[in-house]
Amino acid sequence: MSKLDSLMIQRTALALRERVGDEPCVVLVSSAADGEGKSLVARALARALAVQTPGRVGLVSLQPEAGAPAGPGWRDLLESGQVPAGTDTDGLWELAAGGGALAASSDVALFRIDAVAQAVQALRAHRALVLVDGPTLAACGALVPQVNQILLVVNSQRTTDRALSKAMQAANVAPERVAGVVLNRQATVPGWLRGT
Amino acid sequence: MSVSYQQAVQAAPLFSGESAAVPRDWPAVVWRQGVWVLACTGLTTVLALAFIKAQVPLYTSAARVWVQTEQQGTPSFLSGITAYRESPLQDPVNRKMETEMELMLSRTSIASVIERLNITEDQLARTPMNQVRTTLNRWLGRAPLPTDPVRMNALVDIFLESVSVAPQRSKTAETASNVLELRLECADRELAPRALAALLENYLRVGAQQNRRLGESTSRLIETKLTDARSELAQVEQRMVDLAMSASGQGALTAGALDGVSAAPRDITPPIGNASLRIDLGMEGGTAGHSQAVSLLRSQTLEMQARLEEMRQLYTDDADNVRSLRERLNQARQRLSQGVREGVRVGAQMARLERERALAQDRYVELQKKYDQIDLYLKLNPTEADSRVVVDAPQLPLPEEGRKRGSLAMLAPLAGLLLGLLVAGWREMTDRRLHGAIELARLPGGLTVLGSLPRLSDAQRQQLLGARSR
Repeated sequence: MSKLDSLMIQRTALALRERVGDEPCVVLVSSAADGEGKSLVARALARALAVQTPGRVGLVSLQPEAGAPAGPGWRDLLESGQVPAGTDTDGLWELAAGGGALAASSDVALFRIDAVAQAVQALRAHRALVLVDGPTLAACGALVPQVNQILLVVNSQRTTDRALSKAMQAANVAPERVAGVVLNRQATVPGWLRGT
Repeated sequence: MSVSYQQAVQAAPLFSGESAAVPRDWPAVVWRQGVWVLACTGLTTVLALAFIKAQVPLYTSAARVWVQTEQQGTPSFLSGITAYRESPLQDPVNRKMETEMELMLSRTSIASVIERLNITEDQLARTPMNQVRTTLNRWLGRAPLPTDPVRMNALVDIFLESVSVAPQRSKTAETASNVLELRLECADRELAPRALAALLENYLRVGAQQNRRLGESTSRLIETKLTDARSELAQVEQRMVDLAMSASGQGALTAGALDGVSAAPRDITPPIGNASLRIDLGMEGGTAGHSQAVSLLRSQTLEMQARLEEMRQLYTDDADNVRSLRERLNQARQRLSQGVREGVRVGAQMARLERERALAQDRYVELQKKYDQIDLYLKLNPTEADSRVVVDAPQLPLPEEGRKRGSLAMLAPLAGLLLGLLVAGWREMTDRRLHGAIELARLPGGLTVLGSLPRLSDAQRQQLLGARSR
């Protein structure tokens, strides 16, 4: 990864921080469709934010990942309302999906309004800024109205305006609740072609 | 208070329909659609090269013909033969030139050239479509037979596409000269001038034949009429001779009865032309003999009357010699009155026959004059009497003339590039993907771009995510 790309991520993280302000905040990272790069963007931003403000940033993964640490996770948070310990690496607190084989039903769990509200509230109290690496907008369920802001990831090579509009309409996401959009896989135009 | 998505949609149209690209973005557009630009350029170049390779070299032969429109017209000997030939309005020059051009490229003439020179499709300059059609037909085994009229029609069509005729444009004014340039494009270098020469020959022959054929048919018609006129004249003259002979015979008979005066004609051969003089002499002789006989008869009658008066003084009326003389006198008087009546009748008949002979002779002379004129015209060389002059005969094209396709090879990549740019522009206009801030800002409510990530390789992704990448 080039230095320029690292700077771009840092700059994006800074822009996100400016958008959400200083109040404790839970930001849902989602997209219109699967495979747009939510986890990549969420993790990269979380790490960049952790570099900027170590110890105040958290990353919660709602879907099980290969190589994720075993132990209590998001599902346990939903069940108990208590924030599990998670892991803390380089100033970034991380909480995995948890639940092992039960992960398949985690999407349904997101529609439990009270549990989700309680979990989000607990996260907000736990860290100043928590990024939730969520599913697609249509599958976020009760999470959308509970989080403070939504960060949308758009695959610029694939996602159309119709698809994004339709997803936002289906999840009833108001535009001002969207903190911003991160364009993934954007074609890079060489500087000489841009005249710079 | 937050605004729902539906409220935002109502506040702003879903899509403005405006193009996302402004001139400053065009390089980026070209970069994004670079594959299409390259593909179109490459494809067009390859197609052009294939087309050039498939094209056979073409050779053009040209000829020029000067059409002397002021000398065009119907020969004078045809004047009066048919009413429609004496049109008071002459065709304007441009119409005459148009007619000449149509005559040059008549299908009959072209078919004759094709047949005479055994021209095949491969020898002619064919359009790419014709070439493809012919090749396909060959592959499919549907090539028409050489004797097929459809094939001849197709060949004529191809020939017509290869040949052009146009008047030479003036270099100083908005007008055209009377010199027509005929150009023929052929794949066969040797064939081009030969086919063009044959086409010209047909054209010149058609023009000359028109009047020539008319002259020949008119000549045949006049010849028939001339024979009739000659026969009619001979008949009239024969009747005159017969009349003169009968008149002479009667006169002689009358005179012979009295004094043996003969008025026989000096020649009774049926005359034509120079022989008319003898006819005239014969006629004059015939009528003169009759008049002399009547005069003689009259004088004899007077003489007999005088002798009768003398004898009556010497003898009584009952005397034999007086009675005899009186009877002879009565007979002479009867013959005299008969001769006078006959003379009047013969004179009237002779005058009528004379008129008939004059008419027949005039007709005969007029027809003979026209016949001589047409005969003279037909004996002339057709090209000498023609108003079309071949100024430049068809020339054999130079060998390098067939290699004029280089410009296409140079233009094809440029055309391909242009096509690629058009395709790129079209794709960009119809592209609904969210490439940047402009497209996102157009969404209802407007979305802000916080940042962007380029395409990352797997290694870069691993580096960014650590071991837990997805």
